[in-house]
Amino acid sequence: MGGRPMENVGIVCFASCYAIALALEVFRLRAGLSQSGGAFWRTIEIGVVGLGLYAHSAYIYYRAVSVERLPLSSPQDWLLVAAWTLCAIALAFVSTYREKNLGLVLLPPVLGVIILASFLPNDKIYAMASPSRMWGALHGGSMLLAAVATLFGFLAGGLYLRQARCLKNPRCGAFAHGKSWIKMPSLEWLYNVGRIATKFTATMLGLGVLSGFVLNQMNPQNLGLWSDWTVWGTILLFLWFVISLTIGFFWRRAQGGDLVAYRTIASFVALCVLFGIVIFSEHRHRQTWDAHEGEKNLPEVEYSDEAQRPGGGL
Amino acid sequence: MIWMAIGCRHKESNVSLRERLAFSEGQIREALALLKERYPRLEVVILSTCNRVEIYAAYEIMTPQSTEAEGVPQALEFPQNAELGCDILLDFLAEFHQLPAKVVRKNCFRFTSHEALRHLFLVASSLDSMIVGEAQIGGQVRAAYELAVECGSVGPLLHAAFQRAVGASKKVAAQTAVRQLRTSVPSVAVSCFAKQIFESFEDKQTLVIGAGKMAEETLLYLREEGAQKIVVVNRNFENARRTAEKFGGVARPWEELSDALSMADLVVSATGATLPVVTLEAFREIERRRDFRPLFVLDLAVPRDIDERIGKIPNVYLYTVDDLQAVCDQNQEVRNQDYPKAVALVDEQLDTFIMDIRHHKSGRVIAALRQKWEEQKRAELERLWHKTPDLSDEERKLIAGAFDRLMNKFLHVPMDALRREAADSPILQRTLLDAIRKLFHIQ
Repeated sequence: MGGRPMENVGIVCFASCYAIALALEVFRLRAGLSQSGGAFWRTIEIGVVGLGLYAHSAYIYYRAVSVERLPLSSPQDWLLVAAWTLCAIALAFVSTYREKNLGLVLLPPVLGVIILASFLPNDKIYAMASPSRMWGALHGGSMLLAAVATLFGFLAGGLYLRQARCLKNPRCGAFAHGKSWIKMPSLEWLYNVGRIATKFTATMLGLGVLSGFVLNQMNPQNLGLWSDWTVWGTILLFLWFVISLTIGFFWRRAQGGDLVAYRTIASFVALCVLFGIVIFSEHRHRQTWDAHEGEKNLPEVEYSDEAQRPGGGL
Repeated sequence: MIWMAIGCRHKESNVSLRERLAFSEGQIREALALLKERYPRLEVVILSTCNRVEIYAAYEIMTPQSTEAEGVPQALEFPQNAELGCDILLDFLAEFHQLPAKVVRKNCFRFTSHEALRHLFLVASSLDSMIVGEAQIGGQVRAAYELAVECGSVGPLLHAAFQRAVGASKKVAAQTAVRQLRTSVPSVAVSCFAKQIFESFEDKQTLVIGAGKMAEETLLYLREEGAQKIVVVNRNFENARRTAEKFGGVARPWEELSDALSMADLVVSATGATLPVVTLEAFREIERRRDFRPLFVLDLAVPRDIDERIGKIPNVYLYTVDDLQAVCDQNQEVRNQDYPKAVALVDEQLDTFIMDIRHHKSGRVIAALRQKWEEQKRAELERLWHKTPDLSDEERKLIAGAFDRLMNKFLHVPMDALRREAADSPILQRTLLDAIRKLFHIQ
């Protein structure tokens, strides 16, 4: 695992809360709890997730303070912030749709992202060679939100296809198990979430590509990122979303719930491939990390204009 | 106190007798008024549904002096024997509907005391119904109780009993599967399938093709879920118009079926046609106009109205009666499995209710006794202050405190005995209460 031992304790702390909440969700379902009994455990579950989120927030704050630099951009930190965002949205959904078993669907990806993050380094900070931290934050933040939205779209799409299949076959028993019936959202709800996630992802990817372009232009070292696979991968992913939204606009069939669901799954697969490239391949982004490994102080940058010299610290 | 429940239900009598004994709302009012006139202190609720006609009655036993003190002549007193009371009620039922008393007594059940209360609790929790867990009976019991309250025939005993029975039914609904699962085709279609497809029904268009009882029942469930835009299409426009009016919808002529289908989100079909009224080819043309939106189709007709190949089209969810009956049967099985647990829950609630009544009874007697002694204590203390005017406030307080402690010590033993006997032996508790009333002249 990357990172110092105390940080790992922090990760285990909030990950445990999420794991306990998931266990409670499973327990509620298996026990076939009545409405009142189920409501009590649901409240406990929401409380545990809230506690985990609080610990998670404290951890992220601690990390930001300890590295003295924002945004948190090491692979581990980036994924933990993504997990935090995912969990915050999951908590909102679970609290709003209390009668549904959304925790069964939303909590495992949160835990999955945290587990993945724990295997990645956090001592390699993405070098903010640009004088403008704002564009870097915009780039990292929009890519992060795009990733989270893609994951949400994937979950909604997968669930949509599963629900649709069971609804096509009423005798499959998915809706008549009584006590252990898993209460999932309706197809209409899943379809709307999938569509909103797709549009949001496209917007965030567009913002991420644009801010990345601006960052590159503003970087006096000119990292020459146009030969970087991750950059092209992101642009291609963005184009994929734009094209699929455009097709959906002109060809009604493409707006059918099943096709929207398939598209969200394909988008997620593409995102995973892109993420794999970012983490495991040699590319310009990674080279900048290696170049500034362990350094908190960036190399001096020459400014043509005194007004461009940034303030110190966070 | 005396509890009675008499009546006829599917277990003891056939449909024709139940129909003859049934009450309309007007008749219930009339019957309650008659009973009130004959027996002013008798508390009565009449429940009349398509599967049962029942009379619940309760009566507080009082001494002749108390009754006279309330201004009720002895002649209008209800017998202090529950069996005799049941006979009177059965005879009243026969007399009201002009049937031979022998026939009614033979084909009706009678429960007294604990059994009468248990029957009420089981009925309210839909555990005595033909279809265990059916949803209507809870509302029907509540409606019968409210009507009796309106007519002034409910007193403290039946107030308490019905409210507890309704509470028990809510617990059964919440803690067992007996009322959680639907077992009728229209209710399963809407709650288990339509609600899994659509998040809300308010903005959805429902198309009814044809007519029929099940189609109307489905519409009822859809209306309960918020469906507002209803279109009815029938070969007979007059029938379509009548059905549409009933549900606040719009009737369209048969020729506009394709148009109506292209705009519909939910379709309920129940024509008497021998061939499908919507073929695959016809649906393909409509599909494009529908923008491939999800479509819920409930085909209640036999033979089918909707070509079964339409069900294979993506985003079309087609259900027939056979499909849904299998789900209904599964649900009923789960309900039946939870039946013993539900009955145990009802018995537990009933025991608590009976215990509370006993505590309430002994509580009243103890309160009356305490009040009597309190008055005597005050009188004695006043006499003492009068004879010893030189006592300081502190000394008076000490003496009053001693009197209080003495009174509590005297009361502790009988109170404790009454509490114990309320739990273990209601008969002995009643005997003790009577003894206390007699010994200390408490009403």
